[in-house]
Amino acid sequence: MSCRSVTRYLPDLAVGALQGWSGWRVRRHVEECPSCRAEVARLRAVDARLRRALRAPEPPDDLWASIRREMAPVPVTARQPALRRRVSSAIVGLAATAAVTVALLQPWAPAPTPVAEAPRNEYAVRHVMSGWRDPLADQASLGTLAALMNESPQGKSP
Amino acid sequence: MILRLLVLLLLSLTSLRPSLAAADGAALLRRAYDQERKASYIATMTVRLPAAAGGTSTLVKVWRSAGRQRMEYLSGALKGRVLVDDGRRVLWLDSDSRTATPAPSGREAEALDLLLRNYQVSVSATERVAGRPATVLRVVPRHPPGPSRRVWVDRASSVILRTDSYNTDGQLLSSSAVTAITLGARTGASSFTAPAGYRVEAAPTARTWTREALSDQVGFPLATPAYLPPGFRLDEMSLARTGSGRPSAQLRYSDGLNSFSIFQHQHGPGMGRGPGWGRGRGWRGGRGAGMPGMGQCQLLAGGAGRSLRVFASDRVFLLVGDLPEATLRKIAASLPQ
Repeated sequence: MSCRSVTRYLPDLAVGALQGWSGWRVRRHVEECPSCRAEVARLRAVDARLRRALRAPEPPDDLWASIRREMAPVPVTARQPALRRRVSSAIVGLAATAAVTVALLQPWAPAPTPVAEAPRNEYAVRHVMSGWRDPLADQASLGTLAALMNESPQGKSP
Repeated sequence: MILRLLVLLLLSLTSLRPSLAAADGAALLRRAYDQERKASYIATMTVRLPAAAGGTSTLVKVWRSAGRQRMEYLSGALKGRVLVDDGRRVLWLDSDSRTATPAPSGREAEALDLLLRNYQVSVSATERVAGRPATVLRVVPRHPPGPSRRVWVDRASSVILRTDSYNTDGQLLSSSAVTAITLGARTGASSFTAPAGYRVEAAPTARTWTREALSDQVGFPLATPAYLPPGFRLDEMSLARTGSGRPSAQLRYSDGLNSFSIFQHQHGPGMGRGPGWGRGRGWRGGRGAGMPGMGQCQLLAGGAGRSLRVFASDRVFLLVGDLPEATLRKIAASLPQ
């Protein structure tokens, strides 16, 4: 492929959105072409800055566990005064409501896709094809499976 | 007295039958394996992948000659695609860009020994494939769970006529069967090379790297798991340049029939210990089973197995293979963090 024909694919390549056979060919070209490689690096740097700027905070890992904890019934002993019992229940209720409200209103956007992270499918294709030399390798099937996986979008069955 | 001797003889023959069948199976498999490297033929095959796209089926024409082969897809989504294997490397030919993408090839006899150590081979039946009588071999793991095979070996020539592959979950992954074959057919050497006008792309075709050389390429000392499933051993280490082009080390482990790979590469930009990280927390809610940074285990396309991604402090591990999820997690947990 020439630099001219590759240029329009570079933004997609930089953000990891270029899949399949075209992706394979463009990456091959970029590996060998210093100017296109430099262009991809520039695009990735811009993309990384944008993602950092737009990154929303992640919800704490134990959010739902803490909500469940707050919502669990509080054991009430017979000796507990009625007023304290009512106050405890109110506090627990308020805490649970607050936690649920926070959870619902939290403006978290989907976490950013890791920049320049290679699609898992490509590693899977490589793994499948590395079985080509195995003693009982069914090469007709392996070739077919790898080619179909290579052409399918990430995460979908070919 | 004679009757007693006859009974004893019958009993001993009965007890010997399974082991004889196993010995026959292993011997037949060795013969078939040798023939794969020596035989010459032209065949038409059907390839079925029941787990891919709700059941993909395609027709393939195969030319084989002394360890080299050429495949042309005659139907389906891959119609027109050509693949040639010259015995050293396999080339994927792309008619649009007129390029040939190489990958290492060539079989090794010791891999068959490993397979026979880890799998039981037995003769199960005699059936016909493409009108030819064939012996059916069953290949099952000695340390289940694991994948299995049924292989139909031509009784006259020992050429493999059909292969059914089952994954670790016992599902039929693929089935390829000869529908017509001309044994002994000669094919010119030019059929096993990239056609004129095709550019063979530069790609590392080295089979195995040294640990030091591969560590230099990826920028950190390679990590190996302390735990391996029974029967597995390191098969090869190689350099992968997939995805963004960033170098990734591939450590492939095999038991002769089944395999898994551990890819390891540096974090991409924005994937270090920044927001989204913390003690006991993985990326994007990928909570590990007792291990920080262990991601979700995903089923791969076409029934090719599972993948598990693990984030360590200085690198990302990706484990890929047809192994139960618990086994993948156990291997991942044994990687040095």
